[in-house]
Parts: sequence; structure tokens; C-alpha cells
Amino acid sequence: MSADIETQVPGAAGSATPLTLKERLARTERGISETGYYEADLSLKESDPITFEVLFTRLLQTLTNAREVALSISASPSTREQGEIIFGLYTREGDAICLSTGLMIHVHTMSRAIKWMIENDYETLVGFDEGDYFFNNDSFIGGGHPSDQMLITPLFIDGRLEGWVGGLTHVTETGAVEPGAMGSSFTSRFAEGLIMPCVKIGSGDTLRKDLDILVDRGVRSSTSWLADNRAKLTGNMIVREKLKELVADVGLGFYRKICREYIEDTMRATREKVRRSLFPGRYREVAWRGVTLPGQESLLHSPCELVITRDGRLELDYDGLPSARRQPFQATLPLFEGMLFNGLIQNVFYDLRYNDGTFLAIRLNVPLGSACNPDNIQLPTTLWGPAYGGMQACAQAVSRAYYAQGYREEVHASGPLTSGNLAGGVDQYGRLFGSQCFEFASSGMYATSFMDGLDTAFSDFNAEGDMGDAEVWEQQMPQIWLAREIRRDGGGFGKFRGGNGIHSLYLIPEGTEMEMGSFGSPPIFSTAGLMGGYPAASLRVWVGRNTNLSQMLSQGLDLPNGEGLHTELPDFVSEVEAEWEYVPGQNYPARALPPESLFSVVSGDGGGYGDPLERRPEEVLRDVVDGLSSERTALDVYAVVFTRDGAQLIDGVDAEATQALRAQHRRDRLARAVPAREYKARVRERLIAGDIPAPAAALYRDVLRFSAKWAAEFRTFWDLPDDYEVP
Amino acid sequence: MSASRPVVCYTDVGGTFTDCFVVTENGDFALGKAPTTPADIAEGFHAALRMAREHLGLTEQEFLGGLEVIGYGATTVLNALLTRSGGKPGVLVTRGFEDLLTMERGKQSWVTLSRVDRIHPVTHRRQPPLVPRTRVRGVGERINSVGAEMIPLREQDVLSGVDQLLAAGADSLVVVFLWSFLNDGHERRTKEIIEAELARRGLSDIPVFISSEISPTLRELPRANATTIEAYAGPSTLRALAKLEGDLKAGGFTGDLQVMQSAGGLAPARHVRAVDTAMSGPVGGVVGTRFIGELYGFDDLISTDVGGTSFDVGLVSGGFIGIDREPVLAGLLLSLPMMEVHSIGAGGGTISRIDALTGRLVVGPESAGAIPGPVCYRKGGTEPTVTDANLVLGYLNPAGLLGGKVNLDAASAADAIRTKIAEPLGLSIEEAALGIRRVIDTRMKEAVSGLVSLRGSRMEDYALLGFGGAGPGHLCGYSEGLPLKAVLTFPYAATFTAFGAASADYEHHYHRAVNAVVPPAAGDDALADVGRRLTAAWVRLEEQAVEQMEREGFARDEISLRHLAMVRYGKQLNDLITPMPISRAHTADDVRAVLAAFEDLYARVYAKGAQFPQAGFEIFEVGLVAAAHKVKPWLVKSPLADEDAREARYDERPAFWQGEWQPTQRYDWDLLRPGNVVAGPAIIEALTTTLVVPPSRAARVDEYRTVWIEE
Amino acid sequence: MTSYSSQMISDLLEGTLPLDEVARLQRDKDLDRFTTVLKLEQARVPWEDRILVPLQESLYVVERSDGARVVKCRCGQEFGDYRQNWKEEAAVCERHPQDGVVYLKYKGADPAWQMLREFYCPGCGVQLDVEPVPVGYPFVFNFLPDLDE
Repeated sequence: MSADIETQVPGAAGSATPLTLKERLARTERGISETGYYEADLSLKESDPITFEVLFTRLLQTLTNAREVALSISASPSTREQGEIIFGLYTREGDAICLSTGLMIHVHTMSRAIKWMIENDYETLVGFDEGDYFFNNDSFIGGGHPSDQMLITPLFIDGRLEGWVGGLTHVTETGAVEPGAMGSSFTSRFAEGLIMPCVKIGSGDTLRKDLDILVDRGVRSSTSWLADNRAKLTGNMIVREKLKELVADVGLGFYRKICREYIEDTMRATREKVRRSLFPGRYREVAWRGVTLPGQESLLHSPCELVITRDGRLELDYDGLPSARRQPFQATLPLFEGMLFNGLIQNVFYDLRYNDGTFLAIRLNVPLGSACNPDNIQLPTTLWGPAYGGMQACAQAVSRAYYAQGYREEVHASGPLTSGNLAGGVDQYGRLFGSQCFEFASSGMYATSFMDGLDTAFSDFNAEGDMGDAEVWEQQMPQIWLAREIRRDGGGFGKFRGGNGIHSLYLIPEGTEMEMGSFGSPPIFSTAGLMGGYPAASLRVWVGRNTNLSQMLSQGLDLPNGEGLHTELPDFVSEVEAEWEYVPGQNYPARALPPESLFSVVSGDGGGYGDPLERRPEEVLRDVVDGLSSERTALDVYAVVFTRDGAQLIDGVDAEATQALRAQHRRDRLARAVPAREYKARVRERLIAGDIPAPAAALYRDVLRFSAKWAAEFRTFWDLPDDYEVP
Repeated sequence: MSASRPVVCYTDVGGTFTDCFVVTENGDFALGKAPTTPADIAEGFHAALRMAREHLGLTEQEFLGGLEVIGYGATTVLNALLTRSGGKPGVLVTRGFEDLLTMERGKQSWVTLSRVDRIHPVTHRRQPPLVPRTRVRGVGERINSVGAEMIPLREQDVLSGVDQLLAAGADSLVVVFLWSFLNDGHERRTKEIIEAELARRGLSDIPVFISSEISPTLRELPRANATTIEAYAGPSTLRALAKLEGDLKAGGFTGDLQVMQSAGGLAPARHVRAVDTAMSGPVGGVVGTRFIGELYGFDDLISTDVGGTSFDVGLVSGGFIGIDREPVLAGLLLSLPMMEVHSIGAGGGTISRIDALTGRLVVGPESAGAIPGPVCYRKGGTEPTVTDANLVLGYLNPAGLLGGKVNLDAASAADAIRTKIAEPLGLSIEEAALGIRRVIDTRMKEAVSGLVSLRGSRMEDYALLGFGGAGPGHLCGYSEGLPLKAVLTFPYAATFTAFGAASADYEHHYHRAVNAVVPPAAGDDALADVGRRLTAAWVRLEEQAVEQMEREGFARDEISLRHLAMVRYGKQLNDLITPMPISRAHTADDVRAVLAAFEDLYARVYAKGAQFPQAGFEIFEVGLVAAAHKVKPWLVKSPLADEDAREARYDERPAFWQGEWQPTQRYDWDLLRPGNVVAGPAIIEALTTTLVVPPSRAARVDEYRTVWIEE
Repeated sequence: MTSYSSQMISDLLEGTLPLDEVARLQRDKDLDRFTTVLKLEQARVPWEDRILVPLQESLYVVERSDGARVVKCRCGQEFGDYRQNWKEEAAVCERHPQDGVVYLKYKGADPAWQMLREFYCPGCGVQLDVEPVPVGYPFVFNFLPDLDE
């Protein structure tokens, strides 16, 4: 059997002249575009479906073991606590065959890096040998930003390169201008720190000491970076050795063929799953981000058009994205692809074999030069902006397609925004440090059509969300939590509410020298609700300098323990005297903070689902009793009237009064509102008069020039002349 | 049955059945089995004991009076957690962390889910907290990450908190402060205040638990979980234990009731903590595996237990039982030492189906359980299970398990597999059934090699033991191709865990936080200082251990101590439990020996290339295992007969092997004699289990009636 | 082939299906779901027009007796041909992002950046969509189903 297969595989042992990797890659890509197939037949699967399943189980377990081992070696909290790590197995051409669990974003970004090396003649210029290790954190090649660090090693069988093994972790210090790698002030790639584009950092299964030194002197604290390299090296070795055993068992020809079939099979399964589970049609969603650099304030949007055809094709068009520029809220194409892949796996293809077959089955248009596909590698791509939004928008579109098909158990609003805080300086042990607190990996989950979003439990970028224990973070970073709590009323309101995120109130302790910052969004709603549900609350940061905390302590006063169920200022702001600084949206470039300063940040919250007036009053009552929601919200947003036991204690729902109040709310809505046509006429006047706030005007000016498609639709919608520009 | 004196008895109170296992002075085993009685576990407990006793033909006085040890393991704590049927603790936490138990950790919303569900977030769920937010209060205080006081304890917060918690109906009180494992001053003081207040109110029967006593280790949520569990399920559990012990003593038993702990040792009922006994079921299997290892001189062993719903793998490496220091119990993260047992959803009741959207054969993790059970049990099961596949292939005796007590419906099993698996895949019924077996066997095999590669060292060093009701049926499948030293199973495979538990020693695990950081390129002084810290901590643990075990009635010279250090490279987040070559570290060289032991272990577990000494070393915790010997069951040696097993053969029926039906010999396991060798293909049936020997494998019975699987 | 009782699916639509039951649906899909849901939805609405596809909460694409395919609210209100965005026929209202009713000052967007554009059914006042958008942003046409046989 394996003999027959050999002849089917170009360049395999026995055939005349082996192809170079570059030729093989070109040939494979040509093949797919011409035939639409990755592998024309599934003869191995059809002749023995059980072996097909069993062998994949072995591959999967091998990668999962590698991940488990690497997790225990890692020195990055984000890796060990939040599971920011993944391993993948790739074909000679760099197509993903099988992946461990973990950061699904990077399934395809590592594939990108392998192909990049092949296309750039590494085979002849640098050379591939057994035991080589290639490091990459250049996000234009693969990965998401310099924090995403991959280590790739070739897989040799009988002296021939037969594939690749890759491992990737998120490292929280890269020697960037701001500590913790993900600053919101970056205006060029050169602010992002140490970037090594596919550098051979090891050979003979040993890492080069001089490059360890390069890293050690290039970043604030190198232990995470260097220890994670060792974690990835070990993981890659485990996979490589197991793979040799496996190939010895089944034969090389069989291995090559079945790997190609796994990708082809996934490609077909992807189409089949789309055809059967998503209603055909055209879906449109938009998600919001923005630029907050002083003088460049601008909204950024991610207009997503999803077309699902009757035969199960899934086409995504992002024409209409703003243009790339010198600001960090944008992403490279590999990251955007990875982000979408991640969202689609979580929402649709979770039970397929995760590999590039899914990716090959999808049509994607991301205009070159846009904020998700910059044509200039000197631009920063640190914080992703519309790329993350593009995934949120796609997930909402998919939810609508599930809804129409009847699979309501898969329908959900938008997931939480990614936000976090960064710090660097000298820590409580007198060590230099630079890091990022990854607790936002456990933000508020989206509401679904059947339940409220989970509080503090989820992130879109890694389904296995976790915030880690405060004690672990306080070992890694010197700031001290004065409060770590569920953010009340953070989740979007709705028939089912979005999950609440985390509010963290930090104290900068004595005996440390720290600069601290945070990133999030502009002062906008960046997490939409669905089908009548409200978006999640906006993020914000409060920074208090020169506080009176020590006086409060000496006077035996209570220190603040959180936001409280405030109706205006958060409790901690009204309780503590300080020079308070309030930054809506939470983009706060790192600055030096003296001891006894307070720093308050929030993680994202989930979007709401459905009309809040349809929320079951008992659920509203439960939230109020558990302190997860305020009485004000219960009355103003949910129109629920409570009964009280004589005193002030709430003890139930007044069903009649609630029903009456809700009816009143519906009448008020209609009294407030105007017919759409009337509304459009008014807005049209504002557009002609140029009566548009700056952040929106900046977006419109940019996109009207950058995207002909979007410009035409904009002008048509508002019935504006073909040469309309925002005055 | 000769009435020889019973010596050791172990009873395991499981979810559905209570199993009792007795060893007599001349090495006979006696078994008792009775339905578990959740309302009052004592009922089922005594019923199981009675059955074993009557099996031995003894009066209660002879039986209980004769026994030297009565061991006990139960799932009562686990059940209390799973059914949320515990007490009403009130919790005091560091001010600002009042949401700790409701925020919990995101991980708790997916950690118990399958791989596919984890990546499919709409399946994530959150269980109700053990303590509602309304029974939590904050206390002004703060210790920092080096154990220094940052905010003094506000005693008035403690008093007002207690007042409100009692008003809210708290029946126990829990105190969890940040970093209390480094500096327990605030927690201890808080306990004093509370106890004084309770005494003043005449409520001294309300127990108070502080996290620095229950689980003195890093990570506030696992510490809070452990402490809360003790308050939530502890009091009722310990009352039940006291009652059992009372009954036994009244019946003539002169010793102490010994309870199995999750870390693998027995401890007197009067001295255990409920949270330490939460996981007892799987423990017996691993303990028994170590015991068998001692018998045959194996240091490295793999224990594999195949039940109806799960496949449990445990490791014994270098004579040490693998310990998990961050276990998950009923979906709650803990930081207590528990025996490391990896469990996957794979057993006789595991369901297989074809996924409608992807067309893939999916085997598990869902299980048909006992009800409705496999199709062939005729209890309403409609989904084909692994057991149905085994029946269709002719591996199980349709005339029934348990010597015909349960008849199996082969026809409907075959029908289910045909319509639900074979036809969609375009396979014959037999191919489909074989496919189900291959998929499940592969997952079991991968779970085994996964754990070995994760915990290091080479498969070649290990002997694998297979047991559990369905173990012998799959042992040859999931051990195939693994380069193991030996593959063993037992005629008493179905009750091996009870046998194993009966072989446990008296054992306690102690651990304590230290702050021993070895900076890169540390000099002798720095090393010596680290040595002093380690030594001081070990001494404290030794005092604690000896004090407790003497209280439990052991003389100092009966107690053996094993010293441990949890070591890692600088800033790593995961440390290795490193057995110490020394018990005191006086000099820099002593500390170098400690670090060398760690680096050797590290290189063995991971890889030489992964060593990272230039980052320095960190030791934030040390441990001590204190053990004392106990009488154990012993296996009786019998003389070897010849290899011919003809006398045990009773039937020949076809079974499906490697794509074709082949005539297959059936043997009665009870009639196999030491020395006998059965060549595959063969089926060896016992009352409670069936050993499947495929072609190319053979089963050899040794002088202890242990069965060795050979190529 | 997997299939579930229409009671179970009905509870799902009502949002009252126990979560472990929902998990079963999430793990193992039934292929006849569309028809099951269509029957149930048809039974839930007070009017006779044939539902072609549920568009979103409260809205359906229906085929009227005169053959016209229009978007229709559960309450009976019609929004015109399904090929045009139903929002063109809705009642619209811009909400200040920090109006102190839905979002408070420190939790809402900056009005210079975004407002909340709410769409209601003119018939029953149910809130059908909330768009967090800046002034002048076109209505988003969320879903144009492919109905042509």
C-alpha cells in the first residue's frame, strides 16, 4: 500500500529529483487554487476510518503532552496561569496538521512564519538541520506582536525534512518603550522592543548563549523570555521524538498522505458544517475601536460582511477598514487571520480537527494598507484594535446565522474587550522587572440566548480564561491589590445580561520604584449587545497621586474596598483624598508612580442579549441581592419594582407594578423616538453642515478616501452627492 | 470456609456500592458488598462488613475482636460538594476581596470539561459558590508578599463581621487572609477574637477554621476553597466517623478506625481533616500498586483502573507515589497534596456515536453509567457503549457476567452498533465494534504515555498494573506497543482498589512555606543562609509530625520521615517535589546537594536543554512525609504447576480478532493454577471480570496467582 | 440520527431550558432543527402568515397571502420587504451614552465619540437593536437571508 502512495507524493523517495521546499510550497499553493483540493482523494480515510481517527488521537495527545510539559517549565504567569501557549505540527510546506489546545490564534500565525522562511530561501541561505531552533516574534512574519514568541524546529526523518513543530507563548516583557510590552503610546515598530525575525537561536538541541545575552541585555527582565524558550524547546523535542516513533510505525509514505488527508478532510468538514448549521445569506456587523494618541484622536471601525452560501462556503469581506498609520491600535495580517480563525473555532469548528483545512475553506478579504494589513513594516501593531473587533463582529454575524437556523444554544453577543495593566521598575525583592498583569484573560463573558454571561471567567483570545491568584501576581509584580472585585453593572444590560469583568484597585507600595500604565480602548462602547441588548460598559482608569492613605491608616479609618454601587463617583474616589486623574477608555501610557499612589483598572465586560424589559424579574432581584447589580439599574433599565419587608430590605418582586412600569417604558420609548426616515433627514443635514464630532469625522474622512465600496454605500445611504466629503 | 482470624479490613463507601475487603491471618481474602446508604452511611457499611464476616463464618465478636486494623474510605465529602448539601459557613476575608469565592477563578468554569467543550465557550458553566456573597465579610488587614504587615488588623471589623455572619445564619466561621501562609499572625489573632466572642455568646460549638492551618500554601483561592470545604462538609463527616468508630468498638473492635487520606495514607478517624479525605476511591489502586511493586521489586509502576465511566492512571516513581499539589475536587481548585490520578472519560459504559455535523466517530467522554447503562443490559440504554462492542465481538459471555446473574442482550447491542455506527461509517458490525475498542484503547494508551512523559523518566522503567472491573478486558489493548517492563493483572482485579487500600501505611503529609531564594551565582554565605532557612522549616515540620503521630499512638522509633523540598528555577511558576538526600542543610555544600538533586530530577522529567541555572533557584515550600508501618494483606505463594491450562478450559466459542471470527478458548480464571500459560486468542472469565487475550499475546499465572501478560 | 423533543426546543426558545440540557444540544446536534423551530415559532405568533425564517428576537421574514415577503414583528407590525433593512421602518432614538438612566457618567462612552442608537418596533415598543455608533454612521443591515429556492 505505502508503495502506491509514494508515487502520489511529488518529490517523495523514489521519484526522480526531490523538489526544494520553495518549489514544493509553490506547487501546493498552485494545486489548491487550481483544483480546490488540498489532497484530491481521501483514500486512507475511506478505506479505514478507524485508523484515520486513531492516528489523529495519537498526534493530538502528543501535542497536548508537549503543552503540559512546557507549562510546567514556563516562567511567564500568562503562560503558566492563563495557558497562553500552544504547540502545532506542520507539513513540509508549513500547513498546520494538528494543534494542542491553547492559543488558537496562533495555529495559522506559525504556519505563516514557516512559509516565510521557505519563501525567503532559508533552506539555502540559513540552512535547516535536525536540532535547529528558529525564533520569531516579528508579527509581520507571524505572531500577533513582539510578546507572541514562537520557536520552530524542523522534523527530519531519515535525514529528510518532513515537517515542522512549533511552540508559541505570550511573553510579558519585550524591552519596549513602555514596560510589559503592550503600551498604548507606540508610534512605530521601534517602540515595541526587541524583535527577532526567524532567527536561528539554537542548533544540536542547544540554545545559543550569545543570543541569551542579547535578550538579557535587551529587556527589563529576561527570565520569562529565556525560560519560555526552554519550555518551547522541550515541547518541540517531545513532539519531534514521538513523531519519529509514529512514522516508524506507519511508514513515511503513509504518514505524508494521511497528514494531507487530515487537512483535506477538515477543509471538507468545514464546508459541511457551515452548510448544515448556518443559514445562508449576507450578514453585516461592525465593531469599534479607536486611536487616542494626542492630536490623532479617531474612531476606528471593523465593518464585517459575512456571506454564507448554500453550498457551505464562508466568505468574509473587511473592505471598509480604515487605513494603517503610525498608531498602535492595528494589527498585521497574520494576527488578523489568527484572530478570525480563533473566533471561528470557538463558535463553529470547535469539534473539527483544528488545522489549516478550516483556514483553506474560508475566503477572506482584508485590504492591503488597511489597519489590519499594513503595507509598511515600520508601523506598530501592538494592540490589534480593529483586528480584535473584526473577530467580535464576525462572531456576532455567525450568531445571527445560528439563530436563523434554529441553533439558539450557540447564539451570543460580543465578548469582552482586551485590556490590562503594565508595570516596570524595581520590585519588592530589589530585582529589575517589567511585566503585564494578565487577569483580563478572565473578563466578563457575553450573554447568550439562554443564560447570563459568566462574571470574571472568559476572554475571546483564549477560551480557557483565567485571572490567576492575586498572590501569584503579587510575587511577580510589586503593586498590591487593595481591592479585587466583580465590576457591578459592567456587563451589557439585556434579557440576559453580559458577564461582569474585574475591577482591580492597586496600591503602589513603599520601597519600590515603579512606572505603571494600562491599555484598553478610547472612551467608547467596544463590546456590542445583540438583538436589543446593550453594549458592555466603557473601560476607564483612575490614578490617584499623593493620597492620604497613611493618614487614613493612622486615624484607623477604613481603606477603600472597591467601587461600591455608586451612582456617581466610585467609592474609592470619594473616600480617598488624592490628585485624581480619570482617563475614560483606559489607554494610559506608563508613568512613574510614587509609593502610596492608587491605580484602578477594569477588565472588559460582556455584551447583553435581547430587550432588557424582557428580563425575568426574579433574575433582576437575584442580582441585586447578590450585590451584582444596583437597585437603580433594576428600576431604570429593567423596570422592576421590588417589595420590601416593612423596612428597607428588599424581599421580592411586585409583579403587577413591574408589569405596569414596563408597559409605561415601552410607551415612553415610542414617545421619544421618531420614524427612521425623519431621523435620517436630520442626520443628513448634520453631515452636510459638517456638524460631526472630531473622532467620527476623522474616521469618515479616512475611509471615504480609502474604501470605494464603503464610500459609495455611505453616500447612498445618506443620499449625499458622489463627491461628498466631510467638511 | 475455614474460620481463620481476620487481620485487616478495608471498606470503601462509594457512590453506589460499599465494598468491604478482609484479609485473614493465613492470607485468605473475603469480600462484602452492599448498596451505599447516603442517608446514613453506617447502614451500608455494617451490611458490607456483615457479608464479609458471614463469608468467613465468624460471629461479630470473633470478627471485630480479631481485626487489628479497620480502614475506611468514603465519598461523603465529595458528595456533599457535588450536591451542595453541606453546612452554612460564614467567611471573613481580607477587606477588598469579599468577592473571592464568587469571582473564584475563571478556570473553575471549564476545568472539569472535555477538550472540545473547553474550546467551545458557550458550554462553560459556573457552579453556585459554597458560600453565597451574603455570608462573606471583609476585615481590614494586609500582609504583603514577603510576609510583612502592611495594614494592621482592624479588630472591630472582626467583631462586626462575626455579628453579621451569625445573624445571617452561619453555622461555622472561616478566615482567609492574603499571604497568611507566610505570616499567620492576623489569622491567629482573628481566631482568638472570634472564639472569645463565641464563648461570650455561649456559642462555642460553632467551629472556626483559618486558612493558615488548613492549607498553608501560596494561592488564595485554593486556600480559601480548602478551608471552606472543611467548614462546609467537615463537621458532619467527622460526626459520622465518630459514630462508626463507636459502633465498631461496641461490637468488640479494640483498635482505631483508620481513614484513607487523599495523599495515600491512613490516619485515625479522630485526627483526620475531612478535606484531606475527600478523594479516597482512586487512591487505593495506586497504594496497592506500590505494594505489589514492593512484592516484585519494581520501583516505577503505572496503575490503571478501568471502571464503568472512567479510566484512572496513577504513577509510582522511584517508590514515591505521584502527588498533585494543585488538584481539582468537584470543580474546585485546591492546593493540598492529593495523590495524582489522571482521569479520562473512558470505561465500559462510555458511549460512542457518529456526530451528525462532522460525520466523525465520537467515543466518550459521555457515559451511560449504571442507569440506563449499556444497550445489552436491557435497562433502557439505547446508545452503543464499549461494553456492547465487547459483547458483539464475542469477548464477553452473553450467558452473563457475575456467573449469569446478569444476562446480556447481544442482539440489541449488535443492532445499536449496526444502525448508529456501522452503517453511517460503511463498515460491518464487527469492524465498527472493533473500531470503538481501538479508539477507546488508544485514548487509554495515550493517557498512560501522556502521564509518564509529563512526570518524566522512560516508559522502559515502568511496570503497568491493570485492574478495575473492565481493566482485564482492555489491558492488552492499551498496553500494546508500550515498551514496558511488565504488564500485570489479578483475579481480584475488580476489588483491587479495596485490596490496595488495605495495604496502605499510616502516613501524614506536612508542608510549610519558606522564603529561600538562591540568586544567580550565589556565594557560600547566601547558600548557607538558604540552608539555615530550610533546616529551620524541616525541624518545625518534624516536631509537628512527631507530636501528631505520638498522639496517634506511635513511638518515635516507629516513625519514618522523608524530607522534601519544592524547588524551581528563578521566577518559574511550577516547582518539582524533590526528595532530599539530606534532612539538614548546614553548609553551602549541603545546599548545593539539594540543588543538584533538583537539577537531576529536572533533567530527567523535562530535558537537559531545559535546565536554567543562570536564573538562580527558588524554594518557597518544603515538605515532610511521616509514615509508620501497619500490618498489610499478604499474598500466599503456591507451588508452580506446569504450563498446560487445559483443566481451566471449559468452552470454545468464536470471537472476532484482526478482521475475522476465530475459534477462541474460554477459561475459568478461578481454575487457573500457578504456572499455567494461556496463549491468545483466549478469554479468561472470573466472577467479576473478564481477561481478553488477543492473538500474539499470552497470559502467565505466577506463584501469587498474578497474571503476567506476555508477547 | 440525533433528535430532541419539541418541548425541549421550545424551552430553549423561551430561554427556560435547564443549563445541563442546553449542554446536550451544544454537544450533539440534531439536523432537523430548522423545521422544528419553524413549527414552534409559527405556534408562538398571533398571526397566520407563513414564517420563512426567524430574523432575530421578535422579528421574522414571512410570506403574506399576497405572496409578498416582508419582515414582521411578533406583535404583527410589518417592516416592509425583507430585502431592505427593517431598521428603515423602525422607530429610532439617539440615547446620550452617559444619560444616567442606562449608563452613568463614569461607565458610558464619551458623547463626542459615540451614542446609543436604539431601534424600537413602532407597534409594540420592543427594543430590537442598539447600535453604539458615532453621529452619521449608516444603519447596519445585519441580515439579508438567502431565500430564493
